[in-house]
Amino acid sequence: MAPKKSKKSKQEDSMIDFVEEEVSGDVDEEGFEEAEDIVVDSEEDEPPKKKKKVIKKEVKQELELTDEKLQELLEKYEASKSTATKTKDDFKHLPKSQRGKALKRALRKDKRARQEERTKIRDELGESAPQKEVPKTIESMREYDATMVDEQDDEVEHDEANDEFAPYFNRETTPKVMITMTPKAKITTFKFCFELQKCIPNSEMFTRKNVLLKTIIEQAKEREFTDLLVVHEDRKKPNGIIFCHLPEGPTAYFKINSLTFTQDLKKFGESTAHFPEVILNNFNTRLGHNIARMLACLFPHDPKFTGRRVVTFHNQRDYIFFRHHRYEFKKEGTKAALLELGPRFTLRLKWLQKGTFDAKWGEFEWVLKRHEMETSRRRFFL
Amino acid sequence: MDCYIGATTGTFKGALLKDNTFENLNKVSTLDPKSDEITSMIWNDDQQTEILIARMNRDLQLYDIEQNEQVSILTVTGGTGPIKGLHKLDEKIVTCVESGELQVWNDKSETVSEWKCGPGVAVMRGSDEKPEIVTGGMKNLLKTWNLETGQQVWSAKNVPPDMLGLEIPIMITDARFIPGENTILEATKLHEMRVYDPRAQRRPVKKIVFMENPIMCTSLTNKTNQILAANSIGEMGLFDLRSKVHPMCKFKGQAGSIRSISGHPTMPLAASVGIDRFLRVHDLQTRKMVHKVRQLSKDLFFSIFEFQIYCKARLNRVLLRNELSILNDRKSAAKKEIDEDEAEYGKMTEDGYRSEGDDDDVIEEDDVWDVMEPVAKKKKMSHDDVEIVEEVENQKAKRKRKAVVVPEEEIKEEVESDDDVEEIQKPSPKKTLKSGKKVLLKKKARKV
Amino acid sequence: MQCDDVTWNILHKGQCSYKAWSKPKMFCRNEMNLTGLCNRASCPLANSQYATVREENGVCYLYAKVVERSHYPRRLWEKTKLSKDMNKALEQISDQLIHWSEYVRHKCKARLIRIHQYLIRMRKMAVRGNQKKLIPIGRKVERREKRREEKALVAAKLDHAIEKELLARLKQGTYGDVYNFRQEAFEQMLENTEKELEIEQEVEQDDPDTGETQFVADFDSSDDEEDMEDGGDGHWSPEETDSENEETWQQQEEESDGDDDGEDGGEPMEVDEPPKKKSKKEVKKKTVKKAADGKKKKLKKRAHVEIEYEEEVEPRQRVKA
Repeated sequence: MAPKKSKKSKQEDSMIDFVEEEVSGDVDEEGFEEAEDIVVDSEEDEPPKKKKKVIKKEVKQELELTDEKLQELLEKYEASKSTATKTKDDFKHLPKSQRGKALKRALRKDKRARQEERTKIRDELGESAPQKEVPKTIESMREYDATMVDEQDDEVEHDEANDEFAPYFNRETTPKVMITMTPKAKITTFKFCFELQKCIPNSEMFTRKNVLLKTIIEQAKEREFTDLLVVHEDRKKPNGIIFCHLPEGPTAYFKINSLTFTQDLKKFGESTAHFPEVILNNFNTRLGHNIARMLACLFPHDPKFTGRRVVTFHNQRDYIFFRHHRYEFKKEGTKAALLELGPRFTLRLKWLQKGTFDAKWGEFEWVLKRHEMETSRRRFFL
Repeated sequence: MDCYIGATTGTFKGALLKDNTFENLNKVSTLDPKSDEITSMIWNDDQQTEILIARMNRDLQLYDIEQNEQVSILTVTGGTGPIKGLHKLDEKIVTCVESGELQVWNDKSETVSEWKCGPGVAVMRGSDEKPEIVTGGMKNLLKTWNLETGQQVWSAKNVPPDMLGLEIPIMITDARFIPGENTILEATKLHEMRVYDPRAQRRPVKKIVFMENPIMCTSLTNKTNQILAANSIGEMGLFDLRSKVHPMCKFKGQAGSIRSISGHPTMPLAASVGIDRFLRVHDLQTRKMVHKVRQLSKDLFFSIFEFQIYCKARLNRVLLRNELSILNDRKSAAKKEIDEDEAEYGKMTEDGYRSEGDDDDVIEEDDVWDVMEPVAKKKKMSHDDVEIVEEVENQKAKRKRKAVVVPEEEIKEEVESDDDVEEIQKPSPKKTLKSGKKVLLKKKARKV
Repeated sequence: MQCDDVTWNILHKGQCSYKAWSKPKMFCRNEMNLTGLCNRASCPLANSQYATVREENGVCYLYAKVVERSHYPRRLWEKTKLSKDMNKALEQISDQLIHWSEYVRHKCKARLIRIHQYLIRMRKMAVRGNQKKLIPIGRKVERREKRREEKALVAAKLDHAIEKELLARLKQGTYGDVYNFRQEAFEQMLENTEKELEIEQEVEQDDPDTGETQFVADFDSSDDEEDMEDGGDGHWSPEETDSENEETWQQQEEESDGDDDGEDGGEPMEVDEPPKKKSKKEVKKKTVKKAADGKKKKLKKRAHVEIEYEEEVEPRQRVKA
């Protein structure tokens, strides 16, 4: 949603909101219809209560055989898809500050009405109903990316079997993570590091003490750490994280966004010492695969399922959402209830460098170049 | 195959630009990147039928393009580290490993001579003109060696210390002779390129600064004074060595470090590969990734569709062939154009397409233009080339159609006004070109 | 002719473009100023006999004013290169300024020392090599990213995605013997309930039983249950019973739904989930889910099923307490 603006532009604001509403509304509609569909299915299975309706339907289906009727219904269906007629001019009688809201409300009402109309027509049409439209989301309209990883690709498999993370996935190394921060870090950064330490088993936290990162890396290698996390801060808040896989790299830099500490969550539980499961969602491109493998390397191999802890890295539109939950299967394994445990934050990849940290002389595998790359809202890299 | 690519996983790939595809020329599953990574690649002969490939385990292999076969020739011994440079000089192969052992092998895989050129070698490259090679690397200044005697011919001197009196680190990443200029170009990690003139002095005669990241590789282009350089975050620039210090243009598209560029010797094209796993072909004239039909020079077209090939592995080396499928097989592209413009241009047959050996023609043409320049200068119009092409085209059209000869003024008008024609006209054979030249010369003579 | 007092009076009391006002003292912006202060002794304009030390590209120079050339401002200053060795440079200064005022000589030396100190520091920093590069952050870019992130978060439907993945893992059998309830058992149970539905009262009696035996036994049978309790004892509070948990979960779902659409409440999750490429798993999941959903809805129509779950709570509570 658009950020709140000054009062003057509020009307404009609401207009913007309205447009967005429209877009997302389309999506919902389909969902709504689908829901309706399912209900109908189950009715057909056993029609105890709403027998009347089903009978009606049958009658209508007989009627439908006439082409004209069908055509008419279809036209009606199409017509109901068109956008609403109400504009902000219809609300001139209201004070300016209320017009936007009123318009929104009216449009919503209108849309709902049309939706219902359409579902009715669908019911009438029965099987000959037009196909439901696939919702147009940014994800489904994503620009083609040649690097999408195919499961059966031998070459990618070979490449991955020989990359820097292979020892972990071959179970030759067990993860041991070092967490540190910028020199002279402030309290929030420390707090964040503590939270990270809680999430990541087998991790140790060190204060930086103005030591060079390269020396830290050397020492960490000696002590057989497999990963190094360096939290950066800006204006006393963590704003970035350098993630260096040891001993051979690669190094990634993520920006940290919208960090919420455990204490600030509405409802939170306390983390346990069990090894968590890891969920890595939506990492589809070659780069995304690499990042996912890198993130997976932070956590030990065999999660303790009895701990029911789960750490999620969910990638959506190049934003990697970190969540930490305890789950519980409900209703005999058809539902899973989640209780949030750890902090939540969002990561955004800025660069990926080959080898251990060397921002000056190192070779970069991928760099986010804003002007060259962010050419479209539907172009994603992970 | 238009491009041959060596990857860090050890795969050897051939890319076909026309189809925008690549093919693995060896078996992927058997490779071990720790020993099979391709560290260096050169053409074995001038005809470009064989490629010499150096692997991480210092095996030297010969790849035959026609037979599609790889044969191991020899294994380099002595010293440590991978092979950093290869050079071929009449049946002799020169290899150089990272620790500085430089060896010359004859065609029976025996060492002819061997000497050291200092540790930390990052690059070794030979000259096409004389039996010399240049070496350089980390903390290893640029040196040229005579291959026949094994003697050091010239060595560079480090640039003076900076304002704080600190020594400038020597971090050479790439070096090469500039043909025809007798100069040497050096690329460093200090985001600086230096041009040395061995005849004049030991310190660089020119420094070119490019962006802010280490320059990883350089390449020659079809023009003698222009070079390409690329850095570790995927910025590639075209430079003119004569005058300009800043890049003539920057190329877009790469996401990560570029390991190798290969410029086409006659066409304004350059292929680049890097660890972002893409092969990209850029057009040096339009400064874009070439992806559509374009008239390349005078009377040549080429057609390319999206020139960005995802090769699935980190790529180390690239070699661009002289004969490109997109250049030779222009029929389809040109045909398309013709289909569009058939009505306008009447019956144009396919006689006009060039067969193989285009490139020679192009060179000849270049020579022609060199000769002609002084004449052209007298004229007011700046776009001599365009004019000549038009002349040629018109001539050809006239001949083909057996039309009535158009008075010369009319032709000129057409030339000056009709720029679009240039784009659409199809290539003309060499013969007509020559005749066109004659016409022009005659015309100019008359004017004088 | 130079007349220092007149110049000073004008500059001091009147206008001087080099004056820089600040709280404790007045400073001078003239680059030739020896001390940086604005006073009579160190004013480069109002002193005929004046010298200073300046650093240019790492090299120190002694600038001495030659007042005889004041009609040629270009040649007004005499520039002497100072040695890189500080002691030698100090000697040089005392030689050059041998007959000059003590103040100028002293201040020149002090300035030289200061310059050398900062050069040393620069060198140290350069050698250490941990210079930071400051990159400006575009406020608009930041704002845009933030907004996009919010939208991405909505589109992600994190809770759904996580739950889905977990359930998929459960179906796949990742958890092995930790949980005993299986789809077959579940379905069998459903069949049982259907059969017994005809007699409503029986259902009420029977169902809790089945639920109890299955659920509780499974959880207790797992060896690490105790372990689990130890770890999460204080936090998984006893009041936080299963039913409550469930409620929160439902709330969460509702909340997220509300975020997503703002209009529709009970939409099934498989409709507009983000397109994923895990086709195989997904299809399986979907089908299974759909079936489950259908059944759930079937159940919902009969009021008793809910009771079944409610009653299930009690035995667990007992166990925990």
